[in-house]
Amino acid sequence: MIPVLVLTHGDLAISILNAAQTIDPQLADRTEAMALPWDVDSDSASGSLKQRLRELDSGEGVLILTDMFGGTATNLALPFLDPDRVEIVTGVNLPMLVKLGSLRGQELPLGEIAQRLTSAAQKSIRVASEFLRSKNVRAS
Amino acid sequence: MTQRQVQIINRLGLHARAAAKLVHTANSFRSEIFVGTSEEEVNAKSILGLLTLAATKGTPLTVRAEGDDEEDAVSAVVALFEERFGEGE
Repeated sequence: MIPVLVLTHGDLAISILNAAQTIDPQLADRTEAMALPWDVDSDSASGSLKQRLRELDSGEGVLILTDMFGGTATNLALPFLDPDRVEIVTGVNLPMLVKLGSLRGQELPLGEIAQRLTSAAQKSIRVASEFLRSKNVRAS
Repeated sequence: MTQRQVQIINRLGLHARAAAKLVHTANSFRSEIFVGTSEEEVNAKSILGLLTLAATKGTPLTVRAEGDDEEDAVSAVVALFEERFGEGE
């Protein structure tokens, strides 16, 4: 099972992972949060991130989920990007993490997990009225 | 194909925690498993698909499976609904 690190500004990583783990307790295993302080020192945070990645990686690689493309968390993670060992998906949201929980137990390669989570997270963003309208059209 | 009707009896309906349990149960079978309302049917191994059903208490659902363990799969999924997903009410 590929380990996952949720990496964000502030305490978002901790809170969103807590919520996801409450929904799906299987996310308690090998899914961790790393919260960056707002006054982060990038050298020290980069060192901490390197250490966390080393601890998490047992040979299958690590998937990093960051809050926002272009933000500090993503920028800190990008130097570690190595498609065979470390992949990054930006824009973490609750549906993405819940989807991750549902994939636990399936032995999928790093890139495949990254693609599936991205697709699930993007599809989960809806304008409710449009979604309900399309449901009603299908039903009629 | 094995198919059974079931009704949601837990107060919160098919909410996220219940859907997560359903997916993990479904994933433990080889069969393809589907859960459907009168309007649409979704893959029981897809948590976000299950959530789009927006199935509330009282909603009648059909559980359908196709595969070599389809009977056990349908029984296990139906049992989850009947046991209110382990919730008190």
